[in-house]
Amino acid sequence: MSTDFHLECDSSNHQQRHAMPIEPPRYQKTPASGRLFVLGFLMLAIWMERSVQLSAQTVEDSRVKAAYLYNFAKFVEWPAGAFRSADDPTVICVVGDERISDVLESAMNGKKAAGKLVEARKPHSSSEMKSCHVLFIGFSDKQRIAQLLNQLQGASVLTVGQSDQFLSLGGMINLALKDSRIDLEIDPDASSAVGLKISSRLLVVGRIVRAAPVGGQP
Amino acid sequence: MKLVSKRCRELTRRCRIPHDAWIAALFAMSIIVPTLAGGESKDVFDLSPEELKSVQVYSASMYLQSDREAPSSVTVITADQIRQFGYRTLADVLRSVRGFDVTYDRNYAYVGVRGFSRPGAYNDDVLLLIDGHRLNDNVYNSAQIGTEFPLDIDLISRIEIVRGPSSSLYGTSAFLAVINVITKDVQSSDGIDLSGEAGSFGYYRARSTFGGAYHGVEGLFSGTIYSNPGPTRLFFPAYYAPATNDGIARDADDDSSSSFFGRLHLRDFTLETIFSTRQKGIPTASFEQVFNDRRSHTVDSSGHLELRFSHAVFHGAELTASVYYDRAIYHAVYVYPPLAGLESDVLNLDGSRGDCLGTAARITQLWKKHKATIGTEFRDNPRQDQTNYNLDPYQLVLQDSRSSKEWAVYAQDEFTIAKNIILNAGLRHDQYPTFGGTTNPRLALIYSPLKKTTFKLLYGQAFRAPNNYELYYGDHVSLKPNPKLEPESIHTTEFIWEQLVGANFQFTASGFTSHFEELISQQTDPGTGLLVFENSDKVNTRGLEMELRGRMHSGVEGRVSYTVQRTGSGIGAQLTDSPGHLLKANLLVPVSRLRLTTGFELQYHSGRETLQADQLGAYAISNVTVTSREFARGYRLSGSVYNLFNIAYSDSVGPEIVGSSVRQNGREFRIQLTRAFRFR
Repeated sequence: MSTDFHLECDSSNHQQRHAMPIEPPRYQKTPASGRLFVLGFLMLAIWMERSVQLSAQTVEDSRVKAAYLYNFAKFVEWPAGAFRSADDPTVICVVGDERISDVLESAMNGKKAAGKLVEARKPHSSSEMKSCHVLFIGFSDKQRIAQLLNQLQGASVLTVGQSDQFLSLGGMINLALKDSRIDLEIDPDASSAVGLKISSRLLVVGRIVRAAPVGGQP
Repeated sequence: MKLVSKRCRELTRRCRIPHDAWIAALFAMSIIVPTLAGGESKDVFDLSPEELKSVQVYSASMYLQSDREAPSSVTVITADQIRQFGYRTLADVLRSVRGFDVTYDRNYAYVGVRGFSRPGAYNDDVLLLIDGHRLNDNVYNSAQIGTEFPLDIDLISRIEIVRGPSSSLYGTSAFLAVINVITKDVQSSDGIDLSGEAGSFGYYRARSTFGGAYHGVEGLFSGTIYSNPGPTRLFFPAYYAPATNDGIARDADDDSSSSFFGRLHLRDFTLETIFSTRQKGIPTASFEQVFNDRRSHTVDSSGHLELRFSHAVFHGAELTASVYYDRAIYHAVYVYPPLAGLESDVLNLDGSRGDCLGTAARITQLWKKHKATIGTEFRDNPRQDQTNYNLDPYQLVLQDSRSSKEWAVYAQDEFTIAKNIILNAGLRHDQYPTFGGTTNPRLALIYSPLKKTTFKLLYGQAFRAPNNYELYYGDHVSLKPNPKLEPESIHTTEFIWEQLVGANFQFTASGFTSHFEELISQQTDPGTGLLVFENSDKVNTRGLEMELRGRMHSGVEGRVSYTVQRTGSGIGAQLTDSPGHLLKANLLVPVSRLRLTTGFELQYHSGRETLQADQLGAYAISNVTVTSREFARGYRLSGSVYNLFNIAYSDSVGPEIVGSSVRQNGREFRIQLTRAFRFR
């Protein structure tokens, strides 16, 4: 703790009744010192980066979210009317997040879940959205989310989001970023209301949040 | 808070462009080089839900998509960054932000934006909001960003910093920048949080926060106390004489505060309140006070209560309405030498009180190609009082009681002309009883020719209404009031290029030019010889800003920014306290094995001139913070070292302080321990 200050230059032009004590400057104020720190900083950064690479790797959140969407196709049961024929693919739609839809489209090439092909799509209208099985809503704008969820009311579409208020707005599953991990928040009341059955394997992994205020737990 | 003499005194200074460019290049390299060695992530699509849950992730989207459609230059600082870089105050946060510089006169902290700063004026040209609520008071119009900021920094969820004029949406003070602080929601602080901090000079801070939901009612309550006795000895060269304790102020830098935050939320309604008070000793003998007297101090207290209502009224439209009551009280004790023939010192008491009752409403309608907002605001200021008197012998210097009413209407539309072109246009009219009306537009054209490239062309105009101090503070002995002041104005044109580089990097470059007019500054009245505020100065700024930010597969992330600017009234003239070059670098390095994150920070300021035309040297400050992840049932630990290399540097300050510069602290430490008790 440097409680006593030594100033090597006097910036006042007040009349000095005493001569300033002559002290060797403790620090140089020139940019040269700045450059030195920058160099040290740089070397430290590279060294840290190297040591980090030997340890665990992290994955971009969009890839993990996309992988979750694929898992929903495996562990959610849709009511009989949701597929016109047994050969119909499970359709995962993404709106509001280009990155996730890119990742999903390239990964779903021919992939199967629960014996059905999985198809990734970008819907352009509300009728197209109703024909999705899983709809990922990437927007964070509360109003936009509410508008989309409103249009889907009653349809057997598993709605998945990534914003704090997604479940309280009526969504079913939220993928929240917490402590560098993706946390699964599930509102089973919202999904069972439209006849979707979420497997206990997902329910165990996720955190149950009941958004409906009536008789809700604290 | 009194202000004695001038703010924009222009002094000629030859500007050189030294080695800043290659420092910037080095920093860019420090981020890019390691990336080239970055590994590839394995396929996550073969993982089960159980396995996915434990995968460690990083968020590219948070960095790269947040502000692409914003009609201005925006920086967002998150709660994680506040923790990981060990920020103690809002001023600490702003020091790390591109184009911002903060000075501290050991009483208040002052912000400068892109080279324009007025040390000694209380940030009345920056608008400060908490959850959309205006914090600038109605007497000084000040934005308090230091330890006087009323909210505990750990309750912040994120801070949105918008550069440039935004009066088209917010009215007065949205002049240089808007700082919107958004508080944490109940989900992220459900349960009880206890936090304790200790640091250099006997610094401590303690916070307890309670959050929970019961039958649909969400509540969050938090209280904080803070105290910092400060350095026991501070040396001021201007007072180096035996009569003034050899220039040493003893135990005079004490700082303490307490604050409370509360919020209740039920369906469409939110009730929010903040109270705080801060007391700060003045070690600088500002305003010609007696040096080294511990009685000299300021106290700033403020509080507000706001009820907000937000409801989807019909298809695609949302109504937001609010009603609020604010109060801000300031008082100070200044110590002056005894009058002739008397023995005891003269205690001078300076104070102000501002009360404000306000209401605002806006409606936003979403169509396929438009997002339109219209809104209105009304503010009634029943009290805008200023007093100043001497205690013994009693002498009333100033007693000024005012009240006023203001209103405004505004409209904004975001029009998606084509898939990759957005036009954002806004206009606001404000009406004041003093100077009348003012109308301010903002226009933004946002064009994305390629998926990863965005260009923005922005034009904005803003105003700052003269505050009551400038209008009415006068003792007719040395100061003369001027109730006829007009608002200050700014016109800014900016061009921004945002480029995504790969999947994880974003490069932003921006060129800007601002023209300030009718700037209010203190002049000598030719008739009476008294000091008086006048609309007199004109200033021009032009500059260039660059920032690179990104995230590597290993989890290392960072941002580097560089701002170069010239601010002055003509060719070759540089404004005082206007650093020509600012370089900021922030780097986060996770050390997974130890479950730690290390945050490095570097801030470089080029030399600048004080009001007395002295040159202050360039300096580079480094801070390091190490943060643990949650361990042993909800514990978190972090440690910080500020000014790691113990650099000696001074900030340029206002004319009320002899010497016009104040030496800043050397190396400081802080540790923080947080314990979270969760209900479920």
